[in-house]
Amino acid sequence: MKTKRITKTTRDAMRGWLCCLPWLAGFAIFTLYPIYSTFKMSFESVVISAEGLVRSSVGWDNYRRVFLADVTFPGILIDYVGSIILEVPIVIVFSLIIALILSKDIKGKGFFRTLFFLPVIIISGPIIQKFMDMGLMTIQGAQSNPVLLNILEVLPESVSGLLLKLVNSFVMILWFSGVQILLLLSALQKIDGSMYEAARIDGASSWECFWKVTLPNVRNMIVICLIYTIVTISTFDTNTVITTIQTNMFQTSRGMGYASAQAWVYFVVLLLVIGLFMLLYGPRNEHIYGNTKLAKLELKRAKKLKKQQEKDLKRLYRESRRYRE
Amino acid sequence: MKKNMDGMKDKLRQAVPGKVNKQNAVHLLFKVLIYLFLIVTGFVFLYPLLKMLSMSLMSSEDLTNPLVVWIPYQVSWENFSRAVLVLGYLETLWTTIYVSVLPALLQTLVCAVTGYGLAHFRFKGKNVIFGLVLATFIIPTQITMIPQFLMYRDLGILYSLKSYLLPAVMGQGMKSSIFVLIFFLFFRQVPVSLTEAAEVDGAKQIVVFFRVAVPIAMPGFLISFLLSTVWYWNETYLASLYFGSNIKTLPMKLENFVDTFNKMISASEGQAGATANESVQMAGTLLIILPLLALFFVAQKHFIEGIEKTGITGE
Repeated sequence: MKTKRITKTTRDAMRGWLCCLPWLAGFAIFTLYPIYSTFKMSFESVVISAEGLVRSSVGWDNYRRVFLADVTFPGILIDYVGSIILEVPIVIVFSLIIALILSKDIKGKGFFRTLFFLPVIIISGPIIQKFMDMGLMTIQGAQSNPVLLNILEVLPESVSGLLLKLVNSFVMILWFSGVQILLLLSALQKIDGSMYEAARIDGASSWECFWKVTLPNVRNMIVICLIYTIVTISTFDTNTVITTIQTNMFQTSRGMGYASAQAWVYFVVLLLVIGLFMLLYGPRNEHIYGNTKLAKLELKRAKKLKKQQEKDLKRLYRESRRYRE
Repeated sequence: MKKNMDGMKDKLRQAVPGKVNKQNAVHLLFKVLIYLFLIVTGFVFLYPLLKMLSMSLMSSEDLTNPLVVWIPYQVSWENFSRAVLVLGYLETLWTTIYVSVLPALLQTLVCAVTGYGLAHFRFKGKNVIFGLVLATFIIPTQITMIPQFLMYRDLGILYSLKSYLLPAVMGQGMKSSIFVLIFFLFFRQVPVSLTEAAEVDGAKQIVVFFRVAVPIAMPGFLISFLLSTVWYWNETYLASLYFGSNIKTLPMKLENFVDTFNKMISASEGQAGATANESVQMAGTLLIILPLLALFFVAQKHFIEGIEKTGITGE
């Protein structure tokens, strides 16, 4: 009996590993090794010549050039960080508002869901680029709005530049929120209605309900959406950081070593950005009004305790009987 | 029962006139505002697309005419015929379809197997693998593409579709971590008792997978395949790196639309004076989006339900 159970677990383990094997092999070949390789290359000068790759070690030179000698790259990076810090909260808040509206009893719900998801299908670098060139990513006249122009004049140049970029690509930012709306919508629909009832009975207003019941319940989903948004915006084709890296790859003066160093700097910056957002709004154990999860956990613990007690009692009983005999 | 209660409450409200009217008015106003907001944002969402449609139909006179904002005076179909010519439309469309469908198919299957393994079996190191899958989502392609490029060059598969297929077969295709996650969530819904019953009946693992697990996780397959196709279709960054000029998909052709136009149309006889104005460019853009729009309107239910189900089973 016992041996059979062991074989079952080992068999399961073998099958599990077998299923994951192609992925693991792919991960090692196409992800892990390239990461290591890029890291190594970032300390080398790599030139493609007729004989093949010519690599020579240059130490920290590439990184020094990225930060000190390159005229454009640090500026592009700072722009990228600034725009992402502005854009991600806009996407999240917008998605949350739309999801909240669509989770209510609204006519044409299906139509709007489809409408807001539509951009996910067609969003691609060249098309967005064309739309931006034609000025279609902003509503006509938004740039020449006198109120906006006045605001822009007062602000320091770097901030106003960011703001102008925001206005120019406003529709595009909204276009990034298709998947997030659906994910948040499903999270909202999953919230137990009795929690709202309980809160209402305790006298909470809709406003309080939103902050005390809705938001804590969808927090995990918001965190997922945050990461998703950051990654999609960062890896989007029109992002100047990644286009710079790609053009540098084939430039003889810069080369792959330099591009690798840039890629690593970019990766670290991306991680820092994600870290920053997680710090501000990461997954946290907070008290949720009438949290069913916590209650379930409590119940589980109580049951376990009871079982243990019963067991102890039985053992005690058996022992005492043996003792009597 | 609950509905009855609500109905009674409504009736009670109607019975007390003064207070209720005010409440109703506020309620109505709120509702109108919400619909207004939805319609305005809906319009903003569609604005570039509507504008594209209207511009693509304009003749060059209409474009410069300040009186024409949305509806052109005379519909000019010439834009489309020229765009079709410049894009080499039918041929490129066919290329784009197989460049996106084939890798998507392979990627879906491999991610399904991986997701199944993670969801269905208990084994040591499972959490580590799961963590790795999620981590690959954050790793930007920029950090892996240079060695991959060199690797494909050494293997001799650069500038061919194989440079898409090979990583897809190994589960490292476009955003594959999302698909592994989707399949993990869907396969987790398959009750263990069901697969065990099949096993007791003497079914082999493969049979269990295809006959029991796959039908239950069908929405997962659909959404993964659809999303994967769309993402491969729209990818130009890696495509231009791996394919060079050997394979040109529709979005890639859009990038140098104006150049091609100048070479093909403006230089040819009898078309003197034809420039790649906004109308022609928008017609080209519309033609590129069109197949995706068609796919979306055929399969929109699967797209939306798939993601919603993922969200509901998720976390």
